[in-house]
Amino acid sequence: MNLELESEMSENLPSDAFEETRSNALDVQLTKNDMPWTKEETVNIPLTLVTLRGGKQFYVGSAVRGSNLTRIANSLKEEESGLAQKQFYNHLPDFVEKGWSKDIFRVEVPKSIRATYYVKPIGGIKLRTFFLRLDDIEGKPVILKVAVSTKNNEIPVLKEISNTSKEK
Amino acid sequence: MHEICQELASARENGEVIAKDFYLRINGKDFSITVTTQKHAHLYEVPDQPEGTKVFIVEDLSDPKEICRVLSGTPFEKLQTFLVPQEKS
Repeated sequence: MNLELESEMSENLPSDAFEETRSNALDVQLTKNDMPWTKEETVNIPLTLVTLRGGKQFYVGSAVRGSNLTRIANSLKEEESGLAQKQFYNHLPDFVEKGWSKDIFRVEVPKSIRATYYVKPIGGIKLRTFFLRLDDIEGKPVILKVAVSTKNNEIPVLKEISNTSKEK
Repeated sequence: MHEICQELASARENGEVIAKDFYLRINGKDFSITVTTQKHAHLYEVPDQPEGTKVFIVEDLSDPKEICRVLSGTPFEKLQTFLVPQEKS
């Protein structure tokens, strides 16, 4: 991973997700090993530094790439995208501080060399957000969103980002 | 009953697996299903939420083959409540 200092923020974090400060960001360079579903050999993604109430910090970025994942993300209505973003950020503090959340599922056989997860709140929320956990930067966790979908597109997304075709 | 039954992902709490997602193909159609144990069912209860995902209870989460065997042995009419139909990809 190559890092460059950047001053602009990459993500519009929902303000009511948690109390946080946002400060100078980094660029992270990813390869096809990180996101095998992209056509590009390398991708530069800006990251935002988030500071939680208790002082814990993490980086977050967004990289929805590949024609199928982009199509699925674009099929969401505007309010669905906003809700997915909000639920994603609502779950990150637990994940960053404890390493788990009952609503965060780790993909068994990801295509990426990175640990791959999705946020799947059981209940009335019908949306899923998929993300990679990259190597920590200066001890801070790095979270990269790679897909978002309705619950009815969960499998199509997982077919893109994980190995999912074993016959019984 | 199913043409495909594959473990997709798992949720953990303090290192313990508390739920798993499976991919099922039944009669050519794709579905996802979440399974958990009785012990952890309260974490996933969704009263009065008709659109919520219902979670299928199994005895043990450790063996995906056994879970697939249980799912396969469950009549479709009973399983249907827990299945989330998937778009074609």
